[in-house]
Amino acid sequence: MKLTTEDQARLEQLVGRACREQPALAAPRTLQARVFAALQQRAARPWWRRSFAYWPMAPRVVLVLACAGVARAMLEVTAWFNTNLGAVQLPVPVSRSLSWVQSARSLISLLDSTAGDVGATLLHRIPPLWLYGGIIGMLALYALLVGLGAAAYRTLHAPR
Amino acid sequence: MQAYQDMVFSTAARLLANEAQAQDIAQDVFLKAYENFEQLRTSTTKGGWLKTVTTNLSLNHLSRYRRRWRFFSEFRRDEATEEESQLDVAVADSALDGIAEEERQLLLEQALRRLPEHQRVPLVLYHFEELSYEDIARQLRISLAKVRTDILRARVSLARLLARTQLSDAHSRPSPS
Repeated sequence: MKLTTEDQARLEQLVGRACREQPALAAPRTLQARVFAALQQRAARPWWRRSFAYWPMAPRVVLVLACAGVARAMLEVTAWFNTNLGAVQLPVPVSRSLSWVQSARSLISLLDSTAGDVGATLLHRIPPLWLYGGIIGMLALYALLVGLGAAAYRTLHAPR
Repeated sequence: MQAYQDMVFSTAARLLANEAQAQDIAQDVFLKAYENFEQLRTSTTKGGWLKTVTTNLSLNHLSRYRRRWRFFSEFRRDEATEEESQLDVAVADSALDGIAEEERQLLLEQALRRLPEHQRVPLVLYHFEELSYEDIARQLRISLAKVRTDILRARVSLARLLARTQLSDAHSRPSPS
């Protein structure tokens, strides 16, 4: 038998009244001292250890300009590498030591051009039954994982 | 700060059911108040501001731990119907009668702390912070129906806890004869 609407209203009144009559809990005496100590600790920090919003204006401007400069330099270096890497004639020892860079570039472009083709070919070669079976299997394993998680939660963690 | 520290601490302690965490939250609230000192100094609603910040910080603190469990908590067996059927509102109503005021307040605080978080938080927001069901649903990002159900169950659990406490108290008292 569930509570009737009347009982629910009475219960709301009862709990509401009890809560309203409840005085505020007394804060520990140490709270004020803790807050003042934290404020003093904050005030004692040097400007560069505070949040950026509290930095003096000059260091703020310098940092913003420095960040913009670094970003621009990175963009220019990347663009230069992209256009000139093949054309630059490096001394033989240097070019030998940097040969892995060239190899990596070739490998990445090869993978990039063939990955799409391989994916499309595989998708067409795999029988649809296997494909759907695989998807259903994955979903079933996922549901099993969720079920095990829920069971573990209820057994080990849920408040009783 | 002295005028508001009990209110801030109470709000945090009732939401978190943990004194140490409530102290940490109260400290953060007053540090934030200090950051906004100029704005608050002349404000007539600083009490409300402090209460809102306390509630938000406490809920943020809880949600850090709650997020990972929220999904699984939906699987919890619905035990409330059984609880409701065992509750006699008249007994609950008289549960606190005849108990000294201080003891009654202590019992209620203890009963509140023993409620599970998903019941305690909406109950505190409704009865202590006087938020509406809609505001609670928005704050906790749960449905309105769940807020209503959780608060009802919290009231039932609270009444049962109080009734049980009174019963055990009555048994432990020496008989008048």
